[in-house]
Amino acid sequence: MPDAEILLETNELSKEYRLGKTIVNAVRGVSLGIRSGAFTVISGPSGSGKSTLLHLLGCLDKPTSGSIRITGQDVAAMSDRDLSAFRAKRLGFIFQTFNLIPVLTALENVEYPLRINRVPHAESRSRALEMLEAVGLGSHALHRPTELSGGQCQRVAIARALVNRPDLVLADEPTANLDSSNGGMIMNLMHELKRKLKTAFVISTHDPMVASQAEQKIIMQDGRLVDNT
Amino acid sequence: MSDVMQNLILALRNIGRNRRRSAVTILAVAFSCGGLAIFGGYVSWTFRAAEEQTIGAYGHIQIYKRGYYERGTGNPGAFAIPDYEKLKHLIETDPVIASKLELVTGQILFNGMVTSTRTQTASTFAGLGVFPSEDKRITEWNPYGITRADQLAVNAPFFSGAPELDDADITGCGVGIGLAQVLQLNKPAETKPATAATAPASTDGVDLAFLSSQSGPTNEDATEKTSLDLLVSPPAGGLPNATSVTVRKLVPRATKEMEDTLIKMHIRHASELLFPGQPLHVTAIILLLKSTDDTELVVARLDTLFSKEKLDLEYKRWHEIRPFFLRMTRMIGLIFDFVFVLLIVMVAFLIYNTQSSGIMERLGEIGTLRAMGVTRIGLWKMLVLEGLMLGLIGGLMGIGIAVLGDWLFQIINIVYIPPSVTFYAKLEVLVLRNPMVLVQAFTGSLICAVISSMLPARKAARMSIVEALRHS
Repeated sequence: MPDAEILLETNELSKEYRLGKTIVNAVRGVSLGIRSGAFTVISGPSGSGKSTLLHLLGCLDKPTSGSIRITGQDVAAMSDRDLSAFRAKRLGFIFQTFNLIPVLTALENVEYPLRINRVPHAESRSRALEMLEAVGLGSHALHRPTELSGGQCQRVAIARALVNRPDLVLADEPTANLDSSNGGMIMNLMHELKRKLKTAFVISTHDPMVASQAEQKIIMQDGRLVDNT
Repeated sequence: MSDVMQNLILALRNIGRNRRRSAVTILAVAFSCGGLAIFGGYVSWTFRAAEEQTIGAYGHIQIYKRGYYERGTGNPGAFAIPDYEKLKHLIETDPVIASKLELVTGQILFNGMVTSTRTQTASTFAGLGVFPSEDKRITEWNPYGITRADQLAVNAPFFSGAPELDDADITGCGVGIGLAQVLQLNKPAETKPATAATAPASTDGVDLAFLSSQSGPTNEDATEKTSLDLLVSPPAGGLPNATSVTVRKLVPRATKEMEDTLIKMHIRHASELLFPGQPLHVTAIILLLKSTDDTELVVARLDTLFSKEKLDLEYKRWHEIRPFFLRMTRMIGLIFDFVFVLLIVMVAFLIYNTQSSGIMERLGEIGTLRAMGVTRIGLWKMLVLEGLMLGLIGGLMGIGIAVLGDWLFQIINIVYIPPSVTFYAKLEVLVLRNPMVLVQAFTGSLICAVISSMLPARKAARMSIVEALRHS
C-alpha cells in the first residue's frame, strides 16, 4: 500500500493486563495498516483481543509497547489532554449499547461532539439536524433515547459519530443489540455514509453478515493478528 | 445558547435523573441553609438586642475624670466633673464628632443609704442622677428596629403609666423593683388595702409584675405618696447630707444588679445632694451615637481632643463598661460556629453520597463522553457543576425557608424572660433585617456543595475510559 493511502498504522502493538498475579497478553505484536475511507472489520472469537485492539486504535487505551500512527501522528506518545482533542476532531465511536446520553434529545446527542469542538451554536445545531436527517431521523430530533427504538438509537449514534466528519469511525459490535433487519439497515447506512463522507470505518464484530461486507478483514486469535486481507 | 448555559441545562437534567435522591439532597441543603440563616438571625438578634440593652443603659461612650472608673465610685466628689456644660459644648461642636452624635448628656453616680419611714425599712442604694428627657432618649435608642420590652403587651405592668422621671419633677425618683422589694414599697398603706392584681410573671419567687403594677396608674396606693429618705456622705467630708425623694414608679432595669440597687433621680437634685450650694457636677458625660459603628472613630477623636485641650479625662466604650456583652457574644458566636460546622459537614456528606451514587450509575456515560473527546478537566467541571446546582437550588430554597421563618417568628410572638432581667423580651430572628445571614448561609451551601462534589468528580475524571465503558 502506498503511504499516502494509509490512515492508520500500528507497529508491533502489544497490550498487557494484570489480573491479580497473572499477566494477560490481550494484544501481541500487531502490525497493520488501514487505508483512508476503507471499511475494515476486525473479527475473531471471544477473548481474541479484537475489542482491546479497537480500544487501542481508538486512542481509548494506551499500548504496553509498540506504536500507533493515525494521520501520521504518533498517538501512543500523546498526553491525555492531546488525545482527548485528537479523538474529538479525528475519531468517531459507535457502541454496541448505543451509549446515547439519556438526558439529551436525539438532536442534542448528535450536536454534542460539535460542542466539544466549540463549533458555534447555530452551526452545530444545523449540522446536527442535517446529520440526523441523513440517518432518517430528522422527525425524531426532539425525542429522548428512551423514546426511540434500538435501531433508531443506533442511527442516532451513527449520526453522532459522523457529525464531526472524522477520519475514522470505530464501531464495537454495532449490530449485536439489533435484530437482523435493523442490523442490516444499520450496515447499509454505514456503507452509504462511508461512501458519501469518505470516512474509514473499523468495526469489531462476531456477526458473519457484517464481516462479509468488509473491504479489509482482520482476524484476531489469542491476541495475535492471524489474517489481514 | 452559550456553552455555560448548555452545561447548566445538562447539569439540571442530570440532577433530575434520580429525582428522589436529588430531592432528598436538595431538601437537606435547603433546611440546613434555612436553619443556619434562621439561627444566624437569632444570633444576630441576640447580639443586637444585647447591644441595644447595654447602650440603652450606658450610652456608647462614657467620659470620666481620669481614675474614676477604678476608684471614683466610692468617692464621687473627688472625681466629679464640675465644668460639664463647657465640655458638653466642646464635644457637641467638634467637627468630627458632631455629625456622629445623637446626644450628649451627664449623670451622677453615687452610693448611700435609703430609708422608708412608712415601711420602717432601710437599705444601701446606688443613686443615679440623670436629665430625665435625655435619659429617656438613651433608653429608647433602637436603630435596629428590635421590638422593645415596653412595646410588649405582656410587659404592660412594668412599663405602663407615667414616666419614671420628669424634667419638671425635681424630687421624683424611680426605684428598681428589686430594691423596692427590700424596702417593702409594695406594702399597702394600712388604711387603703391594695387591690388584688393578676400577675403575669414571677421570677425568683417574687411577684415582680405585681410589685411593679402597684405603682401604675390603675393602683397607685402603695407609691402615690411614698417618699424615701436618702443619706449620703458629702464628698468634702463632714456631716452626711440627706434629702427626700418621692417615688414616682417602681421599674425593672436592664440588669438584675441595677434592679436591686438603683434609684434614678433628677440630676439637679442629685448634684445638690452631693455638692450642696455648688453648680451642677457630673461624674460621667455620656455620648449616644447615631451608629455603634462610629464608636472607634469617636474615641479616636476624643483622644485627640483630650490631648489638645489638656483635659484630664478618660473614656470607656459601652462593651468595656459591661464586659458581659463580649463574653456573651463570644459564647453564642462559638455555638453558632459549632452548629454551622455540624450542618455543613452533614450537607457535605449528603452531596458527596448523591454525587458518588450518581457517578457510579453513569460510568458508561462518563466513558462515552471521554471517548468523544471530553477532557478530564472538562468532565470534572461538568460533575462539579451538578454539585453546585444542588447547592444552588437547595440554597435558594433555604433562603425561602429562612424568610418564612422570619415571618413566622414575627407573627407567633414568642416571649420569654432573658437571663438577668425581669421583664419579657420578644424572640426575633433578624433575617430580612440582617440579610448578611442569608448571604453567609447561601454562600456556605454553595461552597460546601462544590467542595463535596470535587472528590467524586475527580475519581470519575481519572477513571480509565475502557474501564468506564465496560459499565455501559
